[in-house]
Amino acid sequence: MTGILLALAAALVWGMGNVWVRLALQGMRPTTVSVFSLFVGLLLLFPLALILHWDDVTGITSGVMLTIFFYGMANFLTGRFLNYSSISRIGLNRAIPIVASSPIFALALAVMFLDESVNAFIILGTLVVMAGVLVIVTERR
Amino acid sequence: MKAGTNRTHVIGYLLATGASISYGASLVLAKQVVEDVPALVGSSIGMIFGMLVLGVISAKDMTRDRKASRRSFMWAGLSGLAAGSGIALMFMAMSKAPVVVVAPMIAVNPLTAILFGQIFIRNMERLTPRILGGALLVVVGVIIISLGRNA
Repeated sequence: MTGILLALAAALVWGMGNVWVRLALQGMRPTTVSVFSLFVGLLLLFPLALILHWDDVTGITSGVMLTIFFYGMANFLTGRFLNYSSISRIGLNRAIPIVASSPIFALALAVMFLDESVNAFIILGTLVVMAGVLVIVTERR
Repeated sequence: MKAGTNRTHVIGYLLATGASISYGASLVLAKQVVEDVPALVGSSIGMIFGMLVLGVISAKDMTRDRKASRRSFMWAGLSGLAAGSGIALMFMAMSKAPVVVVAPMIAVNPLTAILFGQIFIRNMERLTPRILGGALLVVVGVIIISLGRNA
C-alpha cells in the first residue's frame, strides 16, 4: 500500500510540476526553464544520492559514467528541452499525453537493441497509445 | 494567421514526439545504468551532465532571460523541485512495491497534469473531450504495455 501511495504521489507531483513549467514558460525560454529546473532538482537529489550511496558514487567506472552521460543527454537535455518547448507551443493538455507515449519508443528500441520480446499485451497497449495520440493530433482547431 | 497557428501546432507536435523518443531512449539507457549503480545515483549524475551541456548550449538564452520576473524563476524552481521529488518518490515507491504495481500508478501523470491544469490555469489551457479522450487512451495504453512487459 505504501508503494502505491508513493507512486501516486509521484504522479501528482509531476502533474503539478508541469503546471509550474507552463507558468514559467510565460516569462522565460524553454532552455532557461530546463536548466533552472534541473539545477533546483539537483539540489534535492544529489545530496540524497551522496548520503545514501556514497560508495556507489565514488566507485563509478568510466564505462558506466559514459552510459550515464548518454542517459543524461537523452533524458535531461533533449527530452526535457523538447518537452518544455512543446508545452510552450501547444500547451500542456496536448503536449503531455504525446510525450507520455515514450514507452512505445522505449519498447521499439529495446526490441531492436536488447532483444526484448513482444507479447499480445504489448501490441495491444501500443495500438491503444497510438490511437490516443492520433485522437489528439487530428483534432480540428 | 491560421496558417501560422497551424505551423506552430505542427512544430509543437513534432517537438512533443521528439521528447517522447528521447525519453524512450533514456528508458532503455536507464535499464543499463541501474545494472551498475543505484537509480538515484544514475539520475543525479545524468542530471548534472544534462544541465551542464544544456547550460553551455543555451548560455545566450539564459543571459537574455536573466531579467525575467522573479515569479517566472519561482515557477521554474518549483517545477524543478517537483521533477526532483517525483523521481525520489518513484524510487521510494519501487523499493516498497514491484514495478508491475508502481508503473501503472506512475503512468497516470498526464491525467494529473491535465487535472491540475484545469484547476489552476484553466484560462491558459483549453480542454476538449477529444483531448481528454486521447489522454485517457495514452494512459490506458501505457498501463497495458507496462503490464505486458512485466508479465
